[in-house]
Amino acid sequence: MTLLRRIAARLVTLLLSLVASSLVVFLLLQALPGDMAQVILGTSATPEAIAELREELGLNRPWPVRYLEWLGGLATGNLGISALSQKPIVDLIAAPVGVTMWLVLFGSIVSLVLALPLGLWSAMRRRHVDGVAVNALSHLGMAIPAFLAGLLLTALFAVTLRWLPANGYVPLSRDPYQWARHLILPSLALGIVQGAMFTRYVRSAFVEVLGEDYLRTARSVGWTRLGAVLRHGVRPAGLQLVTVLGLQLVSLLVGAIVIEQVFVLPGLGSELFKAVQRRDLLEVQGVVMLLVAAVLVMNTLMEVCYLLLDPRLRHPVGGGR
Amino acid sequence: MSRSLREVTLWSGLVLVGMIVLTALVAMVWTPFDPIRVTPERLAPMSSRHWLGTDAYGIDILSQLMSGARTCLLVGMVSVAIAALVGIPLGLVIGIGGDRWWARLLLRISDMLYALPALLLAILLAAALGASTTTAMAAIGIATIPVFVRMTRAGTMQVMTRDYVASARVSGIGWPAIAWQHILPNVAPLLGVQASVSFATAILAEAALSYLGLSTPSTTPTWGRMINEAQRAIYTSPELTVWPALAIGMAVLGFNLLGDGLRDRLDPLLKEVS
Repeated sequence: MTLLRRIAARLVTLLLSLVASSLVVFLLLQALPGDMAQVILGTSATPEAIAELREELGLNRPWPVRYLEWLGGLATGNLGISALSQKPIVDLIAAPVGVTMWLVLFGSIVSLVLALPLGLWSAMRRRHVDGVAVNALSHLGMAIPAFLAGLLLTALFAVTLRWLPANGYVPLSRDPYQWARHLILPSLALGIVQGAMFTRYVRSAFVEVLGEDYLRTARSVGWTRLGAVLRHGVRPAGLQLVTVLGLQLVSLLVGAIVIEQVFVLPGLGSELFKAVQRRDLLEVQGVVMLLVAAVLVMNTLMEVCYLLLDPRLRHPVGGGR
Repeated sequence: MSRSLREVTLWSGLVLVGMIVLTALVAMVWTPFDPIRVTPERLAPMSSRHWLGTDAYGIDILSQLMSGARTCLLVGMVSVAIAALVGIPLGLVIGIGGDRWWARLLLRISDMLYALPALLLAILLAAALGASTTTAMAAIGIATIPVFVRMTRAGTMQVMTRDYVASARVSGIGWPAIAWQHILPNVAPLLGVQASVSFATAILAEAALSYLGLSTPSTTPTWGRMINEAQRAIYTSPELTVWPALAIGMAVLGFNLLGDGLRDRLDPLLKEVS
């Protein structure tokens, strides 16, 4: 039952973190000079009109009341009404959420496909030229910001070779072929840089596994080096990797927001920037909170995965860590 | 890894970082041309007059790069300083607290900051206060605090198990003095490595923020904005992307290699912590 208790504790922590971070996000935006009423009515508005609208929007009530109201809305999936476009914020961000999710999904696939074999290879051949070369390449990859990788890919595949579109987006429902073509370069840009970083984690996880006694034992009963690693090393190495996977997902999400700007994709990041430019506070608040919540939920998922995967935690003998 | 390769890592890191620092220092007093003044000499090729050519506004690229090095180092230094000044004391306190409930609570709170990446913080700050170098530095610095907390705590907990801490305790020395005299000197190398790696991350973050227009206003050139402007001209003169890209790559690589080289040199000590 300790396992269930641990998972429950993680979930409680998640809930508390969500509430605490929503408070931080809310309070940070309260610091904005000028207010919603001013933004909506523009600079030519009379003070009386502004005061009237403030009253109407409920901006004169104390902030704890407004915070609790917003929190209650969050809990029921209602982010409020965008003051400028008069549409529910949930409707405004529904389509962008999809774009960003595709990008993060394909980006993580690219990074895993790159990082797992390359990391394993550079760990196993770390005393050879090719292993060191892979390691050096991953170092270089880490020194390139994702937006720059995007630009370089555009210069090569869109400008010079003209194989793929340089930017823009076509919804999946309209034309699946064009949809895929428009997502290739952004996903590659996001995944390659992320993959370089993850390669280093995979490498160090396997370097550690390669030094373990059980691997020597496996070798001594006739497994080849690769066979022994694949048969006995993947699980312990994977366990180590799960702990950094949460952080990887965070930087993928952040990277996606930047990449959207490079390729002019109508994702959550672009929507956020539009809201910032319009100074649509409530929408900024909602989108940021959504992103923070996604990060927190992903981290908790990873922690729960770790608990489920680690046999030492399921049967704690002698109070093992 | 062989010993010589380790030294190569450390020295190439030092050389790269040294070059960037030197460039930034020179840029404080002199650049070949005014790095912001628009001139009619648009898109000039590389020449003895303009070593790296000029951009679409006729501004000398080398001068912009040099000026960008200054901004980049400034943002890196201030944000790492913010993270270290808040993170190290907090990590010490949490490490000394060990498994006590308040220490675990503080650690949880610091970990929560991981959920607010520098980019989101910068967007929030820019929405609230308007984008500037200060908001970028604050966002990157605050987002880096939990990294320093984690690292300091891990080192502190390691040192806490040593006999000299126990004997200092027995002889009646208070925790602040122990932290200052025994723990801090022993975790300092670890924190040096972390500072170097965080510097690299800060440079990447600064580049992304200035690319997005969430950092330094356009009166000061930054590598990120140079790339943004190069993107607009990508069909006509794609080579404009190359220089700022190289600058960012060199700076990040330099600090990463420096961190790695230091880590390898201090390996026995670091192995015990991680």
